[in-house]
Amino acid sequence: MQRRTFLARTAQMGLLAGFGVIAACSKPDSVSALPAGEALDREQMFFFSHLAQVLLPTAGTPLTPVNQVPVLSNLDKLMLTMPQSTRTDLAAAIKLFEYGGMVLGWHFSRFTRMPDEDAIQYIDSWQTGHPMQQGIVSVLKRLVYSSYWRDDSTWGPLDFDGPVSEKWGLTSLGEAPLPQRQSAHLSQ
Amino acid sequence: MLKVIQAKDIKSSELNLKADVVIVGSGAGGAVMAYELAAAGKQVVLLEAGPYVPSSQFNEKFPDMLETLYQDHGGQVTKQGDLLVLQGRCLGGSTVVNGCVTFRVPDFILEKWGAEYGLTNLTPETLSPYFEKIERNLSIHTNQPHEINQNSRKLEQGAKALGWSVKPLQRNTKDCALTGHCLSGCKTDRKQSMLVTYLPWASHYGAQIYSDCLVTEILTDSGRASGIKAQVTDPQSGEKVADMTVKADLVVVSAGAIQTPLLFLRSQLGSQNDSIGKNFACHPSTMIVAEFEKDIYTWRGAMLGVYMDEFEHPDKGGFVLEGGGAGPMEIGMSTEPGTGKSYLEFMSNAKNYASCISLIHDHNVGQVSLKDGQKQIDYELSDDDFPAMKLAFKAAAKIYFKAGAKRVFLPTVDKRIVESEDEIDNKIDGIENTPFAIRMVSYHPQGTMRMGTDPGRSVTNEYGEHHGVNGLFVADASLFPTSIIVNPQESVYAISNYIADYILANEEKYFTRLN
Repeated sequence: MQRRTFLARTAQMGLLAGFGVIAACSKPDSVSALPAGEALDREQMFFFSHLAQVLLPTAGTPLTPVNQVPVLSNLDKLMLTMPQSTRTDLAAAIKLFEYGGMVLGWHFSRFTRMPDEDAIQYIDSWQTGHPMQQGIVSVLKRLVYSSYWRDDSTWGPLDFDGPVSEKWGLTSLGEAPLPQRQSAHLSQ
Repeated sequence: MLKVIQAKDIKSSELNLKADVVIVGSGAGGAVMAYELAAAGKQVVLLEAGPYVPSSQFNEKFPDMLETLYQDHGGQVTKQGDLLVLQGRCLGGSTVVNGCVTFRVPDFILEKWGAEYGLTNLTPETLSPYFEKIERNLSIHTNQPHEINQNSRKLEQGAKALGWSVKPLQRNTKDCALTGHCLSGCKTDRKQSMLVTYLPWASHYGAQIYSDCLVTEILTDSGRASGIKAQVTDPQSGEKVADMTVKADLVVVSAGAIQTPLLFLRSQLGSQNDSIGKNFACHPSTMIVAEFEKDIYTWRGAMLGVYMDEFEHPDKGGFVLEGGGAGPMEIGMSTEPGTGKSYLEFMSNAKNYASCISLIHDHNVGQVSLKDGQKQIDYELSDDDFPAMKLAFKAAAKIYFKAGAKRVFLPTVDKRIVESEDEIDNKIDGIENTPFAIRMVSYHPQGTMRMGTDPGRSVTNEYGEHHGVNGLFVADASLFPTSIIVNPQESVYAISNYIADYILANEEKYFTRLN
């Protein structure tokens, strides 16, 4: 267990060191196109927008088009429920992922500037990479997926029923009646 | 009739109460304790940290309810972040959001507790009347044929074809409406959770129930428990409404295997062996998904139908599989079918999937602690438990192929799809026990306040009373000396009732007001 922690921290420090150099000379080009959310800043909104497009290529499928689902808004609301420490950790994870392609592997690009095919390959390389990379990419994927599927409009194409009690006219049974008291203590 | 005093009802900035007993937590342990003691004539004050959310406000949308009814809005994770620990944080606790599955503690577990921890008082014979009473009170019954959906039928079919033991689950539901939304709370009160059973019953006998009250400290006086301090917080704004003190002869902590040790640590109530918070186990659970030609609609019908117990005993593997349905969101999170188009193709076939949950009898290798005043849960799947996890995957895959599955998706972080029975061993043997390798969730935290007769190896005695502080009891799953391999709610109910009876049988020792 100690070895695992050591490996994770070492890799993280290596990535951060590389990130510091590269971040200084890299500026996003389309970030200003998106407004900041309540929890996510513009850069993070831009990052998740790109990630959602890569993860959910709905064009040509019967699924609800990703651009018709408020993925970023849902994600922003979800982030608001998280403690600040988690949001800080996530912000660091986003940066590691965004710039990781310039430090690890052969992508030589920030994630948000990768063409879709490269972006998928990059994601998959993290999926089979160091446990820390696996952790980061898993979390990022889950955030995007949950922000898409939580929207009612995505359920129809899957035949998912969603809430049914009101639709079915189910009535509440309410509180259960008081049980009969037993007269003596049960055996010890 | 359930009466709850909430933050919005409190008009002063300071509350000072007196009672015979103050109970911390309103889940399986706390609610039963409150009812039993209140019905016996004791003045009971019960405090719940979470909000009171009436079932009429449950909307059957899992993400919404995760954020409303669960601890940390559904985001409670271990330090490394690869295990989500789901617990209820609302009036009624986890009983409101669980899958309704009930089991008695297996006899072989009780035997182990007796032999290794001195709990010879907790025999199957002693506990049997408690289980019977709980089963009666909570309408616990064996799933009837209409409560076993297509999803569970696949597990049943495959297991039977292999000659493996498979049985209908037992659940605490009354006239289940088969909505499949148990984890979002039962909107129509068919689930016999504490919200509709023991809490209103306790209220009937005069127990005062408070929500929005986080207990911050256990008070002691000359080696005896003397009450608690708490903080009342507005659940909407997060702002403090009042400070509260409850003076009582007896303190019972039933806040669950994570919050209970944290409260003891905050109160600086250590144990002789410094074991508070240690020995955390959690039945790390995964979902194995199989694709079939025909529509299954895993989310339709009773959420959990049957279980396969062929390998339940540790000597045979130490795991069970439960036929558990899931909505698309949970299916999409449980496995890794690939990125982009392959993921969408996987999701497009959601109605063709069957799914089951694996539970393993894990060792108590984790720890709950305070780091800079913040909760920290340390848990990594141990190398000793890893074989059981892989055996569970293999068994599930075999079952599903026997039942006619086209392919099986493994709950790993990398893409592992088993396309035929011949591939099972190879695909599963290749999984390594590294952080994040397996997509795990825990619904059953246990063991952090271990019960036992030896003060050198346990925190409480065989009746759940702290070894060093008289009148300070624990009544929740944190008492379990080992994981119990099956869903723990019924065991918590029964042991809490047992402890309540012990307290009442010795009331002259505990209730100084009487002397």
